[in-house]
Amino acid sequence: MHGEATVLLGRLRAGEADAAEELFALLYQELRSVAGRIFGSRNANHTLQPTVLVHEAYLKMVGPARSAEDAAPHWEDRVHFCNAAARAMRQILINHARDQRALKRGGADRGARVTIAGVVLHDTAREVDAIDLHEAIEALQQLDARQARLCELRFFGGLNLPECANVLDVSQRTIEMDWRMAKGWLADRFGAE
Amino acid sequence: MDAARYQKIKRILLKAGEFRDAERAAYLEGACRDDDALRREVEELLAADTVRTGEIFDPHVVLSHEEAPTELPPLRAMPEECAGYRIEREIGRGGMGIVFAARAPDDTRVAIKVVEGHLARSPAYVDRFKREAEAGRKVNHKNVVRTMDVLEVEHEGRPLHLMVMEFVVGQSLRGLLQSMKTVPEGLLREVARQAAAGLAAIHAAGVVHRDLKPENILITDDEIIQIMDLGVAKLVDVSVALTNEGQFIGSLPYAPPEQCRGQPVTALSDLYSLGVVLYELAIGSNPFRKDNPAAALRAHLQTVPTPLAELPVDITPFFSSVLATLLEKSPAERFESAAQLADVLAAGETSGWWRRRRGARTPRRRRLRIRRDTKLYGREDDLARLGKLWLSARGGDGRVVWLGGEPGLGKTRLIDAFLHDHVELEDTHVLYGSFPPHGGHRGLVDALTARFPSAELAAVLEPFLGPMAGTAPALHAFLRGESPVPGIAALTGETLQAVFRQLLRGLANDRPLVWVVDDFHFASRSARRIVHTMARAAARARALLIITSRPGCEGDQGTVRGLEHGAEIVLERLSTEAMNALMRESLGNDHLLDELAGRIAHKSDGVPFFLLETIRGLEERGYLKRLPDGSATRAREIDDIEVPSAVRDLIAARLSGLSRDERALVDVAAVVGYEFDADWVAAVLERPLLGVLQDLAELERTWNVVRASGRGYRFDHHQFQETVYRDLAPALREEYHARLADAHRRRLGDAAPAGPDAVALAWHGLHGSRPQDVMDALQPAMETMVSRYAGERLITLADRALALGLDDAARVDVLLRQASGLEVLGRRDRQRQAVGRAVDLAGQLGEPGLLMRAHRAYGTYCWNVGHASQALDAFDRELKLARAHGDEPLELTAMMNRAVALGRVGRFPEAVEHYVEIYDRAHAMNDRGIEGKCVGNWAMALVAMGRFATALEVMETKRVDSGDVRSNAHVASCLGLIYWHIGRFREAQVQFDEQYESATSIGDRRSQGIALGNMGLVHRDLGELEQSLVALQRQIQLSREIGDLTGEANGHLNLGLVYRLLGDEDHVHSCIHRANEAGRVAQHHAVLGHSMLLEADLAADRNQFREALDRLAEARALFARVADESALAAADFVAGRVAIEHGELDAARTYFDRADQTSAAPGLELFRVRTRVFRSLLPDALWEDAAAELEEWSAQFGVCERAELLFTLFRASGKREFLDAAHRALMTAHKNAPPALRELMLTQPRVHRAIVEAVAAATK
Repeated sequence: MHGEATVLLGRLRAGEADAAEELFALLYQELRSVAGRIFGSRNANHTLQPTVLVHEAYLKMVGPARSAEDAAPHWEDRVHFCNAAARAMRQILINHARDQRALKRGGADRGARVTIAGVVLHDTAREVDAIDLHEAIEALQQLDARQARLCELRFFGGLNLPECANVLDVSQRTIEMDWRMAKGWLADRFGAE
Repeated sequence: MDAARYQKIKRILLKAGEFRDAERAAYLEGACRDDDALRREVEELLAADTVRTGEIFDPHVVLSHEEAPTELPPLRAMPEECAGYRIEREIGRGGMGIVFAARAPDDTRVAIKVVEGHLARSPAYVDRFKREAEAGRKVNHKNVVRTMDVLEVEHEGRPLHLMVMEFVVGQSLRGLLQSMKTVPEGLLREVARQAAAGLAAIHAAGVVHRDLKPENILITDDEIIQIMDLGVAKLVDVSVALTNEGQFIGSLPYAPPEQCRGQPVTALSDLYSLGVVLYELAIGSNPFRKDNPAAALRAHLQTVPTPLAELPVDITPFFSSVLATLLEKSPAERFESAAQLADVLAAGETSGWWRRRRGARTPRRRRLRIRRDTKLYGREDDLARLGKLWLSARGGDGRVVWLGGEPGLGKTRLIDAFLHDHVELEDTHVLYGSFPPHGGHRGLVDALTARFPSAELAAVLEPFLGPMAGTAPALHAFLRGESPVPGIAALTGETLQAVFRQLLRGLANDRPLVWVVDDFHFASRSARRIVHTMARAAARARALLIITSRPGCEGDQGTVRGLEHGAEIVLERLSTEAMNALMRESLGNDHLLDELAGRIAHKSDGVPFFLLETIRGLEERGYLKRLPDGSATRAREIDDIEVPSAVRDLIAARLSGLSRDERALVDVAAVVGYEFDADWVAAVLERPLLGVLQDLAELERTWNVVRASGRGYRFDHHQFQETVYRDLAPALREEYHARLADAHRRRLGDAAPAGPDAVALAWHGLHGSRPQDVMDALQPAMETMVSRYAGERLITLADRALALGLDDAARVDVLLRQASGLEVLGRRDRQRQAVGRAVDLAGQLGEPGLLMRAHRAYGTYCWNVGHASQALDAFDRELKLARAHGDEPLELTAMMNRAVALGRVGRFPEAVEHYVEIYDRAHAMNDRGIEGKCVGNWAMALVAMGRFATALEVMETKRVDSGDVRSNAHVASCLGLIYWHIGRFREAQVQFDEQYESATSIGDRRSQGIALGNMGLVHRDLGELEQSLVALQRQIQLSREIGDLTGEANGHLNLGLVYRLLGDEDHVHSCIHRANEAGRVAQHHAVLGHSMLLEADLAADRNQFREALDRLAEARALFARVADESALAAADFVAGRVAIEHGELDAARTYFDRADQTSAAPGLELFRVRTRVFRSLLPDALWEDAAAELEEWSAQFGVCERAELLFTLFRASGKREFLDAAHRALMTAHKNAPPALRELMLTQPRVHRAIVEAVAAATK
């Protein structure tokens, strides 16, 4: 798997669209198994950080940087990778949340609620339902596709703003404005407290 | 909102972002026109926030199994009292809740923590909070803040969960760190130990802390470490913490990797957090504290903090390893438990954990390497010599070089410089391999695999194996450390040697080969044999084999010494000049150099590595600063210059890992000495020998502290033993010595102490402050030490004895023996003091035996410093006393001393009369000891008089075999010198070999040195100049080792004479310089005079006759002081010779007349012949007489001198036969000169050049 992801990243950089799809498929398998492991346990509350998960998947599939300085050449790869990973991550979580919801509706008492915590809206961290967030992003998609992607990258891909700017190929100032607007829009949607 | 409006807002927002203040307002006014809603929206967004750098945004997914708690407004105020506790004031607020200072019903101070926020609303959390807090209450340990009570109260219609804790007055580790910047290891260890103990107690109660950080660990005012916030901490989940950004940041830098992954945390997670806390305290910053959480998480998962031992903080390897273990990413790799950690920290370096860990690691050795950016100073001669050897080696005349010297003198550095300056690397096979300790074959294997970094070694090496090509696969397996392919026998023993021999030849056939075998002293026995084989094989190959080794590998030097094509380079400590030059370059600041030179040189002792280390140390400690141009400048007042710590560190590091028992063992061993037997160690420690031997084997295997040597052991390095010995507590040291003395006495039983036993007994008895128990050992001990030239130890022992209160007679005895030790070492000032006190005391006592010895010692001293007549007076007094005493053996001994003194002032005939009398009387009374000694001295006197035939007759007819090895060596020396003088050089050689062997067998190193010097002289006169060089260099080294300055001075002088014949002027100068240095310290006027003669010769070679004559006048004055007639004759003769060449014929005549007068004495015939021959150059002289004389005495001159004399006759007579004879003699020497110097030899010395030119002219 190690080599495969690296090759795919190379092709991605070379501009091959197929590569992104293949990478996504590869990632989806990997991330799902990790997430499944974490949420599979029954006896405690669990948290899962997309940032960490994606980072670990990256290490596993592309190989670790030997040192902090050494990470630099991988930077571009990592950004592309996280882009694909964010999509996969979102997909997995929403599927999982839907399953849990279905369980609950089916009368099982074991169904759990999946929320996204630490969502900073209007300067306060909030905890929002995963499916609500997903739907909100989908709605945002209709208004501004780039901002929707930005949210995906931020919430599920663990990318910071400069990295997002790189993936989306816009300037730092633009990405900041986008982020400000998207956050405002989400805050409105979830109702500011 | 539709997409169009959304995009419009976005456009306006983006544009508005470009303006500020009024401009922005104006823009918005225009852009939004009447749409107030739009404008409000945009303004809100603009005002909403500024995206801060490093914005904390780290969403995470929470899977909760219960319904979301009912929302409640946050707690507004605490009740003033609840459950009997009076709340006083708020003292802290964190993500978890609020902490209040309060009073318990009995008025004791407590702290109450209120769990608050949405946690308090989740029943599952609250349940767990209670469970954990209850568990925490069970923890009753002094290193844990006590949880006193867990309560649930109702307030304002909702439940409050309270935790009542002990109220602690103190400071958190955060506060400590802020005040100290970094925490030193001593304190840190104690913090760690107590924290570990506290954690162990917490874990034992089934609780995991989960949130260890400097804020949670307190140092109370009673100076106890206390951990707080357990129980609650368990609930500090990443998910919860994230709801409060500040809190998250506070804890994340201490979060273990498993927590970052969302995996369950365990007790081992606490160890990680503690590790981070300690690491932060040690260096003052937390490597996991990052700008954003993602980076911190990444670091926890991925980045291993640099081990403290590799950072510029003063942390022991032990503690560095403890922290590295705590910081392991995988919990299983950390300590087993906090309890184990506490134990390890309590036991420190003696803990089993550390020993296993150290044992498992290959010990990291710091290679003592000289920084490469400095020039090679003081090694110009050695470098040139290597270059010359390479020149001949490359031409097919293979060479082996033994490169010796203590660590830090720059052996490897020299090789680097040699390769750089002299070797064309592209056209040469350069193989370099270094043996690590217990190196097996590593040095050889590495050399080949580094040169041929191919996976297919068999194929690569096969072409070089010639007839042994079939062994290539097996060689491949050997080099790769693999088991050979089935069907191929592994290479062992002689096959292996043959393969390497073949490899060396094969490689050298291909292109010239330099093969460096570095740190040979670490090679295994098998590897040594291989290198020996290679050394022999190098003879006729285009190969230079360089073998480097530390001193103390005596046996190994045989590898080279026995070989015709071998050479030896022993690196010595650098001269002050070279050290200064090195320091000048390293500092690049002359002003600073003036200030520091003396102080640094004192610390660095002529070892360049030490010098550079010292300077580096000053830089590190902030005394020196480097300017951009690389030069150093003083940053602040340099108050003290520490001894370079590199070697000390090495030793300390190796010792620090020892267990208490092992350390005791090493301590005792150090008291026994550099070389020691396990028996004594066992005896002192009262342990079974077997156990001690096992421990020693372990010490050798794991720690490299000692090495087996024969059946005994020795320390890995002299400095090792010295360091350990010095660091011992004085009382303990004394105790060990005393016990050793007891053990030696037990071993002796009733026998009288003698030889080495006596030395050990006296040494330990005196150092154990029990002189009364070892008085009987003192005299035999000192006798043994004198005979073995253990000068320094003898002096120490004598000092010790003198300090302990002896009776006067014993005092005189000790002083006299001490004086003889001081004599050998050339320490004249102390020698004078000792002799003076002995003479005074002996005079007061009036004991004739002692007084005689005192006079003799005084005479010896006077002779040493060149007061010949006073010396003779002293010996006269000795003789008179002996006669008065009527003790015949004493009288004869005294006569002998007088005779020797007479000889040394050139009164040989009188001396011979003495010897005749002594011999007759000794023979009559059948005292073979005196008889034997007398024959030797008698013959030597005759030799000095030039009566070689008579001397030989005396030796052959009167020589007695006393059965004493020592006098055999003396006899061999005499015979050898006779043979040498009469030109029977080969026979002389046999005698000197015997002298060397005899001296070696009794450990008489001075005699060894003299033998080597003699060998050097014979080689020289046989024209075997290269061997001569080797022998003389060895003599110098030996003399230096035993502190024999006279031997050293003589060695340098003789070496200079050989180099002069070889035309290597630079070397002659450095020899003269060194001979003078040693001679001056020893106040050896004869040596100084002779070195002056050599300088005069050198000046004459350069046609600087005036200067030559000046030198000769100085030399003459020196010789006159010691009344050495033969030396005076030599000075006059040389002066005459110089004057003739200068054309000052009258002056020459005067000098020759004087030389004739002096050499008229019987025994100085050679000078007469020399003078005659040169006199024949004077216009009115007849050469025929000189020719006749020379013919008679010709064999007694060395080949080079014979060549010169014959050539002189040719110049006087014009007879071609003399020229041809001279040329033949010269060519004999030329043939056997070191190849690199052969060319020089025919072109450089004036006479040699003249002979060659004359032959060329005559042939034309």
